[in-house]
Amino acid sequence: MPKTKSSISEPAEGAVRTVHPRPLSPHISRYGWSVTMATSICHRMTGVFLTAGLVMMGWWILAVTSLQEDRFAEFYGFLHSPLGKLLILGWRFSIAFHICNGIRHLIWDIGYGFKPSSARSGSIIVIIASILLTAILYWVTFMRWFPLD
Amino acid sequence: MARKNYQDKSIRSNADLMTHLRNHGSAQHGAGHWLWQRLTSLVLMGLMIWFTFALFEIRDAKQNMIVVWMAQPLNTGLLIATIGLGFVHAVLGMQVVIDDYIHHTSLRWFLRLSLYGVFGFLGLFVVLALLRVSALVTVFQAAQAG
Repeated sequence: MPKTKSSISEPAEGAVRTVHPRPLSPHISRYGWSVTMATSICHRMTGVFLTAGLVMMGWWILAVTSLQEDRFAEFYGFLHSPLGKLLILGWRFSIAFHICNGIRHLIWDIGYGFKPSSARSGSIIVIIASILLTAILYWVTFMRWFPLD
Repeated sequence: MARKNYQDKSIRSNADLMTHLRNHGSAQHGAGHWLWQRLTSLVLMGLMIWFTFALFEIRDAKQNMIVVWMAQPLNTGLLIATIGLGFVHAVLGMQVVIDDYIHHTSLRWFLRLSLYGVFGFLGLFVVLALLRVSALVTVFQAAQAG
């Protein structure tokens, strides 16, 4: 590759100060994923998904309060279909994650946890806590199906 | 002069008005958006914990039992709060998502207004349905007792 002469690197005629070539910032082509980015986008995605969950909750209330059995059966049929079960799994994780990361946002709003290291460790704590909470929600469900006592 | 034509307290001069008309600068309701997002989040955290436990209680119940459960005053109130505050929180969040990703102005406004419309009407329907069934059950129980 031929070396091109930069006008910046060349000192102007009679210039007192020489201008050294400096690295260009930001390096747009260099872009890597970090945990904080992952939790940030995950907060947004779970939020959008939970909006759909809230619509589902609205449908549930309308189906129950319609006092008609076929409306109720329609809703519960969808809920117990494979798609419905997958959505419920998604909502279990989403509510756990969104609440955990929401607490992190509120801590930021109070004014703590802005250091890069604490932002990173906070992300990891949120991920672990939300997975644990999802597991607990699952465990409680199984406990109802197969009670120990 | 500017205030007379444009009923907005944030606009104090013609320069402010021009800034506003050019879509530059603050729209003057960012702080309210921020605060409502946080206030609703605090209340919703408690409501969601309650709702999770409630769902485990009634998940195997038949429709008429769920109706009776929904008609209890405390449950009706908490459900209305969950739906109402949840919809406010969801609309505020979805609005940010739309504003961030939809750069086409008229499409953005179409989606925003659809969001307000859909969630406004759905919220109204759900709240009215809850109040209706609550009243029906109360009347029914009173008739049985009397």
